[in-house]
Amino acid sequence: MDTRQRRPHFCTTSWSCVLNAGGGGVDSKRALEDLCRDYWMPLYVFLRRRGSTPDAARDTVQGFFAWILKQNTLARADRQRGRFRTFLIASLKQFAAREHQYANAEKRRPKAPLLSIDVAEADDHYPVELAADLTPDRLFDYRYALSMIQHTMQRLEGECDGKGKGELFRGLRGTLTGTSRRSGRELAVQLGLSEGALRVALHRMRLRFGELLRDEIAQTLANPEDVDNELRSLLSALDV
Amino acid sequence: MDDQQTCSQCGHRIPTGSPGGECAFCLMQLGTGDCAVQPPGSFRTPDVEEVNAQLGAVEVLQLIGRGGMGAVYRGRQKNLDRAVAVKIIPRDGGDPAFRERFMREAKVLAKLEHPSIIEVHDVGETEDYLYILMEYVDGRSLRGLIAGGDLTPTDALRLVPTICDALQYAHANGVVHRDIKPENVLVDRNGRVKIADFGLAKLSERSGPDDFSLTGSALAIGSARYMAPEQIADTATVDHRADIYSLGVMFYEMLTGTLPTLESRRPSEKAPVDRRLDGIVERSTKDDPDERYQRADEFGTDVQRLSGRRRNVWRLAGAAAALLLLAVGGALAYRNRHGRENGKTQPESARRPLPAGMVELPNGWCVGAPRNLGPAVNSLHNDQHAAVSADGLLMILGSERPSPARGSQLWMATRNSVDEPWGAAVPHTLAYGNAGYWDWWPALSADGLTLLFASSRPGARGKCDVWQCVRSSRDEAFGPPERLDAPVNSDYADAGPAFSADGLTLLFESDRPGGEGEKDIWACERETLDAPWGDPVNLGPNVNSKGIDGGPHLSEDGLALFFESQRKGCLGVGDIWMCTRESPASPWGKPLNLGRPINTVEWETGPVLAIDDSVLFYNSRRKNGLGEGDIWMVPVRPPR
Repeated sequence: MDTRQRRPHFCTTSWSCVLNAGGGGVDSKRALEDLCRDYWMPLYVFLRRRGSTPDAARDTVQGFFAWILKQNTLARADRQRGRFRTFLIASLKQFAAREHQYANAEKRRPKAPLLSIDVAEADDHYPVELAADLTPDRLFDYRYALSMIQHTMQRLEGECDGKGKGELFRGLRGTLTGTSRRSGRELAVQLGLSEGALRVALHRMRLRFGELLRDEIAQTLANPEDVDNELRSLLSALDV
Repeated sequence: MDDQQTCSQCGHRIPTGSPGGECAFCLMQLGTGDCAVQPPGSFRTPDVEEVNAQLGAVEVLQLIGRGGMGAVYRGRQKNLDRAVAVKIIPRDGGDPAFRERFMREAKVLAKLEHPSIIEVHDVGETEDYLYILMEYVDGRSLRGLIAGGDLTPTDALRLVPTICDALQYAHANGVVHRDIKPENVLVDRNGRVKIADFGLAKLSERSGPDDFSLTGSALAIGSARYMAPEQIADTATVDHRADIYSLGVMFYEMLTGTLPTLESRRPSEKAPVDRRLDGIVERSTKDDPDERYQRADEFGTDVQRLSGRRRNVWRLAGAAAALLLLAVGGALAYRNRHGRENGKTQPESARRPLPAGMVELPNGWCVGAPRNLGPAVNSLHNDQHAAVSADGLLMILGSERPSPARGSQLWMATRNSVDEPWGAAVPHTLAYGNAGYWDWWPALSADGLTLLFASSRPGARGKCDVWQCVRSSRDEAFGPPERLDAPVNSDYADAGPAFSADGLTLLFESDRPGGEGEKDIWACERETLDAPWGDPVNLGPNVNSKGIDGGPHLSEDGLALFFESQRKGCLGVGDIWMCTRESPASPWGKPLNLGRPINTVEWETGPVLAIDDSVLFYNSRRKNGLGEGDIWMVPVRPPR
């Protein structure tokens, strides 16, 4: 059973989402919803950085997901082509180029939006300061890397909830990188643990986050053995 | 929005939306499992000149390692003119009692005298550093061997009992290592294990009942992966069983190449190793120290029992010679992921010496490291399958390199002796008048007078058929191809042919009905070389899986079958596997994956034995070849 999130993901991997989304039918719609939910933000900031207004960027992202479904691009997506990250941005560029060519986004936009994107909220996540320094592609990578971290954290939370350790997870949230100024003793008291038990719990939470992160990344690669390379790329994307 | 917050640890800005308000960069670091982020004010590694300026008795030559606590250099002790290793540790460290503790620990370490524990020659202090002068080990750390894929599970089974011996000795002398990990275990050029940094971890550990801060503790995660829970919880309560835990984690890594996860500590779930090893790893890594092995030698004895042999200095030296060769020639990397499946071993006395650079498989076959046949044979395109005459002087290969005809064609390479390199491949003399035939997967009879190949050329019966060309002497060209009749060829795809050494058995792959899986290996027999082939027999469920099995090749004695399989347990798309049998009449035994580095995460296929079964040629699509697929060779040796 997939316990990645409170609302379970339909797909187990990014690539299986892609393949399912291209398959047609009810499964296809759910897979596409998962894809949109997980990956719209990096695409959105990419378009914003290229000069789209918030509304236009939202419409293009919505249109993009509808287009790849309609065009059956996803059915042709070949996992062997490599990284899901590369596939995603390359497809968006292709779509954006066509859309520009036809200036006809209305027709491609789905009648009912695939997911509700609140433009005001979305733009809160558009890092204005960063955007000035970064190219659209680098901004996409930056936001994509952040999405991977977010998915992993959601997965960890789902897993902890599933094991009855949701409270522990929320207690330790914010302390995983070792930069928290909170007192360990205080936190131990709050969680009803001995200090030793808290150290072990924190250590295990970090390890598990690392494991899930690697797994999350592996699922976006043609060759899961390339995790370390992709991890380096994502670190470098965040190194701004 | 506020994007201005920066991380106190790495200085990166903390993005809006980062989970828990934590630094995304540091969270991503957790995936690397190491501690690349250095805490502010952490140890800065001095260069060789700086150290030399302070150390009089030793000429420091080269930095060979560094950690959070200090650095290690290779040097020469001037008065005795011997190679030494110098470990330096900054003396301040904010702990006034540190020097006293250091000196006290060093005295304890100097008393440890064991062949597998690095000897401490001297300790001392300079203006800025405390230092330890110790035995220099010319070799590699287990970390390097694991990372290079140069450590086989067989090596692990041989090395771990020795490590246990050393730990048992130290524990009996009241010393706990506290930081057992692959970086701290060295294997010298003679294959001897040497454990470094005994007890030193104690110097850097927290002590006392002070409140602990959550700050910076993630930095220890690299080493912490090997640490027992009680060591993380409270260093004051740690005893020798923490070393047993760490060794269990390291043993898992030696067997599988990766660290155990919190979910699974069973090495057999990760690598094709003996399932009984699962129990040993699980027992040594129990959370509760009381449930672990209570003594290191118990651990060692269990491993030894499973390896099915008494430790033997000569064999260890043999393994070391292999490791050394591997260290010297990076390309000779070998990783075989097999434990002893059946526990049946020959007595030591009956064993032949293991040739350097080779590793013995559980079925008694020895295999070495693969080598690319190079640009004479391989092209920048897909070179698929090779047929090699038994004498190793003639090779026919199916290749997609550019030629007058499209598709795959047969090419030929020759040499005058097996010691010579192959001559450049040339188009084979088969008539290729019509472009676009897909001729591939050649096979030669032992005498080199009959050539079989698979083709979908006009006149085929199924999607693909086996064709045959003959000649009466090695000096002649092969005659025109003829399609083999039923029962060899069917209305389905028949390919991957191979003769037995006597020419009386024909093996091939086919997707015809009646098999075990998608594609199976079948065998036809005939009474004499001129007799027609009998009905094909499926080689059965040990050889054939539910997936694709094909490209068979029999050893000269007919007791070993090498083939490609895409079954569960492959490293890549398809791997080279083998089955053995007791006699030509016996059923085939369980399949065995030849493992790394013969197989890779890419695709290996088309195994062919030649030259008295001493070389296995095969096709690999690994990334470091010349083209999409290349022909590789690997030295092998049959059990008898």
